[in-house]
Amino acid sequence: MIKTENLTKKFGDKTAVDRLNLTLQPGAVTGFLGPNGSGKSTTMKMIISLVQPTHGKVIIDGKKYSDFREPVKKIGTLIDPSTLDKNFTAEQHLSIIATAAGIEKSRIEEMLDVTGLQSVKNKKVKSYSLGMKQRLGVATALIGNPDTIILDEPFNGLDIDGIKWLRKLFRQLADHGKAVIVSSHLMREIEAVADRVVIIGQGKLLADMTMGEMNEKSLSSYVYVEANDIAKFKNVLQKKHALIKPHNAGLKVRNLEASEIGRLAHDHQIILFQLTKVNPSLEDLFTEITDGKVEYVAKGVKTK
Amino acid sequence: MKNLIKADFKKIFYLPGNRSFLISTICLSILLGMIFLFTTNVTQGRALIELSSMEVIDITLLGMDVAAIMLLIFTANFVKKDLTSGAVHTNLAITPVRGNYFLSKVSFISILAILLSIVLILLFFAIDQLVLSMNGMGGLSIFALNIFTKIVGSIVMVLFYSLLSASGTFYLQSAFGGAAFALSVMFLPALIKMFPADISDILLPIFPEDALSALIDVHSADGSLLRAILVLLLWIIVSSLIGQWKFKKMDY
Ligand SMILES: Nc1ncnc2c1ncn2[C@@H]1O[C@H](COP(=O)(O)OP(=O)(O)O)[C@@H](O)[C@H]1O
Ligand SMILES: [Mg+2]
Repeated sequence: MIKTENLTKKFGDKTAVDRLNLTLQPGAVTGFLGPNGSGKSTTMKMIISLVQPTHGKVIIDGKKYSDFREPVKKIGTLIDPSTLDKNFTAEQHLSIIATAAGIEKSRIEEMLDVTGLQSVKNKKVKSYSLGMKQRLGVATALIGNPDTIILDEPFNGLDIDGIKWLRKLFRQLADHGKAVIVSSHLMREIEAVADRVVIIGQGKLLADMTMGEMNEKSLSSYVYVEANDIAKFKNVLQKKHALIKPHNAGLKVRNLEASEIGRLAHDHQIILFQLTKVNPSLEDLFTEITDGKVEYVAKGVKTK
Repeated sequence: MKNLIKADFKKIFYLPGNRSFLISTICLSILLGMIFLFTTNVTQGRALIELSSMEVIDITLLGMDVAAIMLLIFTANFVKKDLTSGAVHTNLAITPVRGNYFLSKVSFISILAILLSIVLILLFFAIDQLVLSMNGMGGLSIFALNIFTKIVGSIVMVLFYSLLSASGTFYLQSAFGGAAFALSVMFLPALIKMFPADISDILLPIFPEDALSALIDVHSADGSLLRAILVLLLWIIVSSLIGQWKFKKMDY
């Protein structure tokens, strides 16, 4: 089990990761989401000691990554899909890694099979498409048969088949009890496969919940209203404990049914121009969370 | 550690670029050694047959300087390649303890430098024997003490500059920088010699060139040998400590 405690990284006066507390569980695919530059890569790099935290720490089964004698058998990582040298073939690349890490030769063939690179194993990596490089990166991450797999934006450059293949692979790994952590800046890449979603923005934890909770989140649906006297209507709604956010020319209203809002408008002689119930997609919810409009941490979410 | 060194040798084995650089190192060193040997008329004002067999060896071993330059360039490139983004992530995932990573690279470079030097020396020796016997001059024995120290001195020189280059590359995080560092340590003494004696007398002993020639020239094998070894060790230890210190606090 991997735990981060107050994990913080500053580059000069820029805080890339800000007091992050996370627990990454086995047997689940965790989607690690955030817009570009939100600190996903930096967090992943701190887990495997590529980047030294400014404050806080990462604990892996009670130890640091560098305390493991054979760390690639503990955590497999894909940080960057480029290989040791683009003039190596896939087989040579994996062979060098197996030699360096003391991994049995038989794993090389297995990984070439799993990632579908068997037919191109003797081609130089420089002739590979980005998708093929990602596959080789996945092979590199899995070659030590680790309990935890951390992949930074592995869907980048994959075609539809590749994406489906990768999702299936993640599912299988999680079903075998492994912890799979996959970062992305796109909700749609993650939603089909993740059991759990962790969202960060500007280095801070914004949300940490199961996919079920994410889907059900009551706050996610709202009613959009436009009316002749917005200020007055806002007061009326607030008295009914509605959560209100201005949006365009109107209001986003949560915690009140559309029918109730309509009746209130009628009771107070307010003319409604628009009354729409909105069920945002996960993508919308994600955008809303990362825009900092909604705070989702520690609202019935266990971060044990 | 053994695994990491083996993996580095695989990189040479798999990459034609690496292989051909090392082969050219050997060829170029031999070629220059030969050029020096057959141009003694011009450079020393004496024909080859007028030289002692000891001098013949001395002159051909100048080819080892070429090997040292080539190998320090190779080292800088090799070390830097594994530190470039992409490669460094994989390498440090396998070996997260940076001190161990540094040590494994330095060990690999040392083994490579020693192997390459031995191959070169054997080739030089064979060629010299051939040249000497063709000219009816005296033979040579590797195990004669004065020749043996020369050989060890040449190997140490090649090794020394490669290690400097490796540490420089770790410190500067650039192949050009690492090679430039080792090359300036190699060539600065020549520059310093142009300064007035009172300055150069202070500066020269600090640089390894004096120490290396003390190692190669057996006649100075008095107290200066010990001092030479000390100077060289200091260079290696200080540069590798600084290189390692920088490497350990890098974020990749
Ligand atoms: N080595 C570095 N030096 C300076 N700033 C960095 C460095 N690495 C990352 N950053 C900054 O830290 C922030 C987080 O970056 P990153 O972790 O790569 O985000 P993400 O992977 O979520 O896109 C960005 O603003 C980025 O510019
Ligand atoms: Mg990133």
